[in-house]
Amino acid sequence: MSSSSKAHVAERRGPLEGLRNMSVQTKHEILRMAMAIAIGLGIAVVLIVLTAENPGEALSYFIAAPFMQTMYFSHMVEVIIPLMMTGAAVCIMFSANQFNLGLEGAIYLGGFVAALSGIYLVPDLPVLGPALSILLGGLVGFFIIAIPALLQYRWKANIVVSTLMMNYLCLYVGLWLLFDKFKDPASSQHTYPIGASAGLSILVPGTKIHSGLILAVVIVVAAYVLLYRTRFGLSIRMVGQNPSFAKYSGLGVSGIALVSQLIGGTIGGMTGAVQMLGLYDRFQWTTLTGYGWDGVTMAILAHNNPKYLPLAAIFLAYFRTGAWVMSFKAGVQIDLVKVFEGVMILFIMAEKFLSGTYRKMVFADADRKRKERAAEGSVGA
Amino acid sequence: MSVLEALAGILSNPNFYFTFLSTTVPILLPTLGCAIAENVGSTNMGQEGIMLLAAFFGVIASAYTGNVWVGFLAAVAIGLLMGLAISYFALYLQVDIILVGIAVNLVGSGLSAFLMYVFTGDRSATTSLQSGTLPFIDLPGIKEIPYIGTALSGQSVLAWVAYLLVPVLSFLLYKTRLGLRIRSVGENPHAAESVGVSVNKTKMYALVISSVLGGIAGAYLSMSYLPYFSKGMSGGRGYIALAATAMANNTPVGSLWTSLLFGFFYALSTYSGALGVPAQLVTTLPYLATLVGLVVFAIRVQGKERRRRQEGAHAAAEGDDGAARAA
Repeated sequence: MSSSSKAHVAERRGPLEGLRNMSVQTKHEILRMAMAIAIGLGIAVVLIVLTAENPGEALSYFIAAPFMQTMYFSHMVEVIIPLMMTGAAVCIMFSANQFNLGLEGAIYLGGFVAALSGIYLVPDLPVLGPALSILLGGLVGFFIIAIPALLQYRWKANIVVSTLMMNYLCLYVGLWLLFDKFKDPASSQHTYPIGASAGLSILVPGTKIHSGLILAVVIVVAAYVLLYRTRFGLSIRMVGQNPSFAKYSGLGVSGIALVSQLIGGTIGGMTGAVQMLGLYDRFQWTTLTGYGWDGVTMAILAHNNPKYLPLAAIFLAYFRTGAWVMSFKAGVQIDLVKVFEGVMILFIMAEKFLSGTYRKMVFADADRKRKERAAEGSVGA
Repeated sequence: MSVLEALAGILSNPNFYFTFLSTTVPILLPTLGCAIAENVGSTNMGQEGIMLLAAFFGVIASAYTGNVWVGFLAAVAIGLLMGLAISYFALYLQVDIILVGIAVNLVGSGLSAFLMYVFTGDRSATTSLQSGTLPFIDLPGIKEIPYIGTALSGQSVLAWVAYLLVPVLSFLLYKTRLGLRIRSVGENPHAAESVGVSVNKTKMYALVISSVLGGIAGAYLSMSYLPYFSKGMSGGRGYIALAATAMANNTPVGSLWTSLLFGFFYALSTYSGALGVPAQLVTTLPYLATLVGLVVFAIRVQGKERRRRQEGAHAAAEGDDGAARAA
């Protein structure tokens, strides 16, 4: 009797044990994510094969570019930095179920102010200078997001619409400042150069990987700690998951929603600053950057949990680098990755996608458990 | 003072009104589309992507067949297909409708830019294609009337379609069975369901109509407003449409007024050189106006809700009535 039950335990202690003990729900989530990625990649591959002059070569760049040259790998890490930062910002706002889409504006003006700080305020102050510029960028982001967030807090003004409008407001105010006030007369659309010591230092010699990476990691960790290890984070998530329950447990729902957006806006402004000081020597953005929308994609990939942001960032950055290399090596437009990302978002967020499989998995799991119980029962008897 | 004088100069220029009416069209069409979708309780944030795809495929179809009307039909077909796709993901697979919009915009801007290079080898605009424009309508009698003639004559046929759609959609929403169903589903889906209205089917109709309007807007952009497709040519009009709809309380006639407001500032920004004010600052005006408008609108809604709570029982009874009529 005892020997057979021991054998049973031994059988379960394989490498698959972790997988086996995972809840059906988690398994299904992983399956759905994998399918969504497969569909997105499949569409991208089909489009490449159909349109590239040399599909094999193009595909090899798409799939493996980051490992082909140091420069490509460096580009991937550069791309990871803003993805992680805006991802953290959107995770915090979406956790409170606030569809704040105003990061684009915060990033744009955050970057602009950081550049101005690097040109006029602290051009020759190493380390502290960039830190101050990034803080100023964050402050700008804070105040930009405060406008729509307060309009929502006070009057319930539609946050989706007001943040979208803020983005354009920020862009055109920025363009006006750029062309009318701060343009280097010798250039068409650039400011004066940012001071030599005002930019972010290079982290790995021989690449363009800059110290913004450290800040990005710190912010992701901080966002995780805030959301999952503090009381306030718990209230943010409670407000997001069930506002009426949160209200009845005595939480100030709209106040928490407001604060979550202010934090997101601050990170957004800092992202703009880090991008500007890390990669450019003059301010020269004449359109919105798109990093804010990337944050939404990131939060979706990470299920609003900052813990998964590094993985999601590496994933997105990997294929973006592939598409980037493809665009100049194989003549395939880089815009292809947008199609890939859009399709992935649709299937990852589809609650009913593979729901039949989910039912089957639940039944199979129940069956397995019943059999196990029956086996144990018969052994016990 | 000089700014005011310059403004008076622009406003007394009859050509300004022609520009004003034509810049309003690509805002009015998606705004009407968003209004229909909002009436059924769905936010169609994907107008941006729909317009880009429709504008692109319109140009391609027109250039390859040599017939602009085929191009127009292609644009409408794209709108129809996108409406069905949005319905499939939002209603059947139950993706959050805002996220569907974000994904549609990603796919729309990505695919149009990607395919433009594939078809034409151009990276920014399809100027190498001979895609033509839809007819512009000269009004023989009216043309000679000062101001009105200059503003009205020579507008694209789609401009007329857009302005005529305002009464048509008003009629659809407030005078037909489908319109009543759309509004009752938006007001209270459970009540509508309980009297036998299929919520998902009604939402699908509304989303398809909404997206087709986006498709027509795309056709206008690349086959009337400009004679070619250029990358990202929708320029945020799909987002402006959301704002214009919200400010218009989701009615077609209200949408006309708010679209005219945006169109006015758009037109004004093209004349900013004469105004002596930086173009970028003039361009911010519609966005500022929207923020203010949103707040005014939200305060009004709050007041309405407060009143409704006070006469709660009465309002509930009325809601039931509405749903019963919808069936």
